[in-house]
Order: sequence, then structure tokens, then C-alpha cells
Amino acid sequence: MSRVSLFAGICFITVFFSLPAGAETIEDIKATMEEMKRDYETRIKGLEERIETLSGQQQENSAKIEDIATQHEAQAAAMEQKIDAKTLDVEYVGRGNAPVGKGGLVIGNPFGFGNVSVGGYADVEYGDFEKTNSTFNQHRWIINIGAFPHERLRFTSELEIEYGGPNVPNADGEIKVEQAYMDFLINDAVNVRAGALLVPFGRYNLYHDSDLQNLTERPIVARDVIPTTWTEAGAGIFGGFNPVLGSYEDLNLNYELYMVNGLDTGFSDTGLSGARASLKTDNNDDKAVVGRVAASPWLNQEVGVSGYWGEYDTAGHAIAGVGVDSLVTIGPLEWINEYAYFGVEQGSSDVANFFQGAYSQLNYDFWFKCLDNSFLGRGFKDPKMTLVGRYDWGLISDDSDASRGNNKEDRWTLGFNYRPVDNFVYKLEYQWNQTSNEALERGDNNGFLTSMAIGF
Amino acid sequence: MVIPKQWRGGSLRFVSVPGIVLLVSAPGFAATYLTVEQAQQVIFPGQNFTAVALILSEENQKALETQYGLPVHSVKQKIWRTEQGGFFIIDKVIGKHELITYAVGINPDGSIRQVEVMDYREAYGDAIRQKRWRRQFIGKTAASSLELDADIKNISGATLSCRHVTEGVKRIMSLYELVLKK
Repeated sequence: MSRVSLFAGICFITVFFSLPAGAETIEDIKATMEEMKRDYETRIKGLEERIETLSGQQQENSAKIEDIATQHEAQAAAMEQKIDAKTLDVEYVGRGNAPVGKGGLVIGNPFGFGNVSVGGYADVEYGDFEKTNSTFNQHRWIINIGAFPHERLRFTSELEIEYGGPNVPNADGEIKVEQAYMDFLINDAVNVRAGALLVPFGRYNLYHDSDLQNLTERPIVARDVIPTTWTEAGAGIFGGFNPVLGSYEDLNLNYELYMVNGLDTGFSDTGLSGARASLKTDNNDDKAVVGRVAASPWLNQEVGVSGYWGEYDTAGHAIAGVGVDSLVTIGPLEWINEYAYFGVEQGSSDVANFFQGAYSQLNYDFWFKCLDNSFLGRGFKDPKMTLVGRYDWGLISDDSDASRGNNKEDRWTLGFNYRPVDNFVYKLEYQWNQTSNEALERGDNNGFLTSMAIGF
Repeated sequence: MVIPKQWRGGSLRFVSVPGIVLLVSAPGFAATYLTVEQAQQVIFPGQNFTAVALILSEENQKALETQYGLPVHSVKQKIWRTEQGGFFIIDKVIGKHELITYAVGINPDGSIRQVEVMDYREAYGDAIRQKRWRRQFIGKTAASSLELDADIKNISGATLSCRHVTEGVKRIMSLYELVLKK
């Protein structure tokens, strides 16, 4: 309105002062001005419409530009993700505060798929038993190296250096391969494994890492009956099933089944560990078969059954073994049981003809909140303590040596653990031992053990 | 102990591993169980996905560290938004020695829809792949404690895998709460 009035006023003054003498009447002048006013109003309206149109177009263009920018951002993000995927494979991921969490070292292959992983565990122990010198021992340093040359090809290995290796003073250490196998992965149900295998007999042999266990000393059955760590050269299959029975879908079954060189004649009436076979040659032409099937009806509840059969000498005499193990978990309480029996077909009466043993272990996890700011809890996210109790038992038949009668050993252990993180543990335990005839492990000597173990 | 003659020698000795493999094997997969596309369709069937560009600012990293309670090491995360407003996020954590790739689906209301393990490479400990463990995460939100042995049960023998995946999911939910939720 104001712009139009102003313009009309200017026009009026202009026309008024420019009128020649004798021009048209005031009416004519008014008519001319009206005409001019209409004309300019029309023009101004046109201009306003044009401005409005341009403004609309500008908004539309802005929206388009925004869309294009969003698309470009998304494309850039997708590209970055692709680059990330590539770079992750060539990244050296350290342990501790690695981008992916705490754990071992993963070294990427710059030429494509195929990470190499490095990890391990180590422990140091101190023992003080009756009738023996107290002693420190640096028991194990284990190096794990794994590799994935292809997503369906996996290599897993465990090299053990025990007591410092063979070249320490007294030469009482050793270096040996505990596992070195390759997996040809097919599907969940069946996969092929070959190499130096961790023998699937019993639960302890499969989960023997020091940092996983709550007691320093391995169970009698896992030392003298199932010769942990039991490694055999061989090949076989492994896999798992998850059968769904109506609405029940929690059942999990898994198995390992291998053919191996098998135990040889090196056992005695104090244990089977001397019969662990060479990884180079078999002592006979027979291959042993060993396997374990585990059923887990619910999370953290598992029952396993193991079997072994194979000839141990060149005369066709065999060793057969059966084992049963179980895991029951109720809240912070874990109950583990394991039993194993090996029967030996005797070529003569001079060899032990059976080996059996068992253990039952209770682990109870706890933590006191008041320790959060103490030296035990400070800086650790989820520290915990564990009370451990175990009963151990081993019984091996006599082999007609100087000491007559079956050899038996019983052990009660009470232990305490402190774990600032899952893979570091300080263990303290006391053992009460009792034996009949030849000692299998500690004889009648009671004592305490303490140790630290770390996995990485 | 006497082993019956019929148990000996031949039959077990000549068990053919390749034979068993051929008998029970079927086409499948191995260490990689789900591709990105497969995991997306398992968690959000039939939906379309748009990649989300997100690079965490220093301010966000600090806020996330406060909320998550652990250091943030990566400023980038693989994130997709679904057409219905949910999120699909891929992450990697370490098991004991090997990397685990997993995906978390978040509903538009901020609750966890599903967790899927895409790659698992360790020789032992793959029980975290089982549905009975993963379903513990369903319905949890950024406000949940998401802690092992608290609202998420551990698996004996697979503790490190359980802990690291649980920590990873907690980190993702903190990220969602801080940056993605609008």
C-alpha cells in the first residue's frame, strides 16, 4: 500500500508539473493517473509473484541440495566403512585397551583375509609340603599362535615351555607342542581337524589353561588317569547340533571324534602319562579312536561322555577308556564332576590293568563391594573372589613291582582365588593328602600351594 | 581287563573320516556365519537400510566414556538406519585370541531387538553363538546394566567371549543413547 501510494504521488507530481499549457482537464489527468496506477500495480503484482516463485524455487533447490548432501554423506560413510573393513585387516591390534577389547594380539594380513593371532598363558607357583623342600617353580609359559588363511581354514597351536625349557641348569624343563592342528571348516555339524590334537577325553583336558582353572594343582584323575595335557597326532571330525524340540530350543549337542596313534606301553602303576604317544611314529599298526559327546540342556549345564579304544602294544593288547563329566551352575555356584576309567588288556601280569579316578569341585564366586576402592578393587571393572573346594581320588592297579597292592590316593583341597580380571588369577590352596602303597602325586604329605596365572 | 575280540581290529580301525564327513556334511558356512545383508534381514526382515555417517566428536567420545565406563577406541561405527526408525550396528570385539564380529539390532523404541554373531573364529568357546545366550539381550535398553554375571549370564569356558560381547553391546547402547536417539 505504502509503496503504491508513494509511487502514485511521485507520478502525480511529475505529471502535474510537466503539464503543458492548455492541456487536458483535471479529469483527463486523473484518468491518466488512474491508468498509470493500474499499470504499475499490475507490474508490481507481477514482480511480487515472480519473487514468490523464485523464493519457492530456492526452497526446493535447498531441499534438493540437502538431499544430495545426505546421499553423499551416506555414500561417504559406506565408503569409510569399506575402508575400515580393509584397514582393520591390516591393523595391529594390541592387547589391553585394544579397539576390540582386551585379549590377544591380532595381526592382519595386508594381502587380504587371514589374521594371525598370538596369545598364551603363564604361571608361577610356590609350594610348601611336608617332607619336601618348599620351592618356587615357574611352571608353564604357553604360546598360542592361530591363523586364518581363509575363512574356512583355521590353524590353532599351543607351544609349551615348562620349567624354563630343556636348557636350564639341571635340564629339567621341556619345550613341547601341546596342540598344532588345522581345521577344514564345513558347517556347524561337521568339520575336519588334523594335526597334534588336544585329545577330547574329559572336561579338564579341554579346559586345562592355568588362568581358567581355580586350583593350582590339577586333579589326580587329570594327571594319572587322563594324562593332561594329552596330545596325540591324528585326524577326525567335530561339530555341534542345536536340535529344536517343539518350543524347547535350548538343547545343544557337540562332539569330537578322532583317530590317533594312541597310548603306548609307557604306563606304570602310578599313571598313564608315560604312555602318551610320540607325535612322530606309532608304536604299532593300530590306530586308536577317541571322542567326547557333550549335551547341554540349558546354559552352563553340561554332561559329557568320553570314550577311548586302541591297541597299545604290538601284540594286539588294547586299552579302553570311558569317562563321564558334568557341569552344573546355580547362580554364583559352579559344580564340576569328572570320572574316568581305563582298562588295560594284559599281555602279562606285570602291567597295571586299570586306572581310574574322579574329582568333584565346587566353585563359589563372590565380591565385597566395600573392597571396590581398596587396592584389590581399584581400577578393575569386575573383580571377583572364588572359594574352591575339591575332592580328588585316584586308584591304579598294581603292576607287580616291588610295592604290592593297588595304589590309591585321596586329596581334599580348600582354595581361595582372587581375580581382578577374568584372565589373571591369584590362587591359594591347602591340600590334605592320603595314600595307600605307592604315592601317585603327593603321598601322605599335606601342604599349601600358591600361584599366579595370566592369560593373554 | 579283557576286551572282547569282536571290539578289536578291523571295524573301528577302518572308520573312514572322509566317509563320515560326506555322510553328514551339507553345504554351509564356517567361521563366517552371516554376511552383513543376511544379518540385516535376520534382525529386521524385509526392511530397507540406509547407512548412517557418524564420526564421534571428541565431546561425544568423552560423554560416551563417562556413560559407558570404558575408554572409547574407535570414532567410527558401522551403522544403518531402518526405514521404520530402528538401527542396525556392526561391531567387533576380541574373544580370547580371535576377533568376533557381531550385529546389534535396536528397535525404534530403543530396546535391543536382537544380537547376532556374524563371525566366530576361536576353536573353543563358540557357545556365545547359541540363541539361548544371545536372547538375554532382547528387550534390554541403554538403561539396563548389561553386565556379565549381573543381567547377562556367563558361559563357563567362554568367559572372555561373553564378557567382551556384553561390553560391546553396552558400548553400542550407550552410543545409541548419546548420539543416535532423537
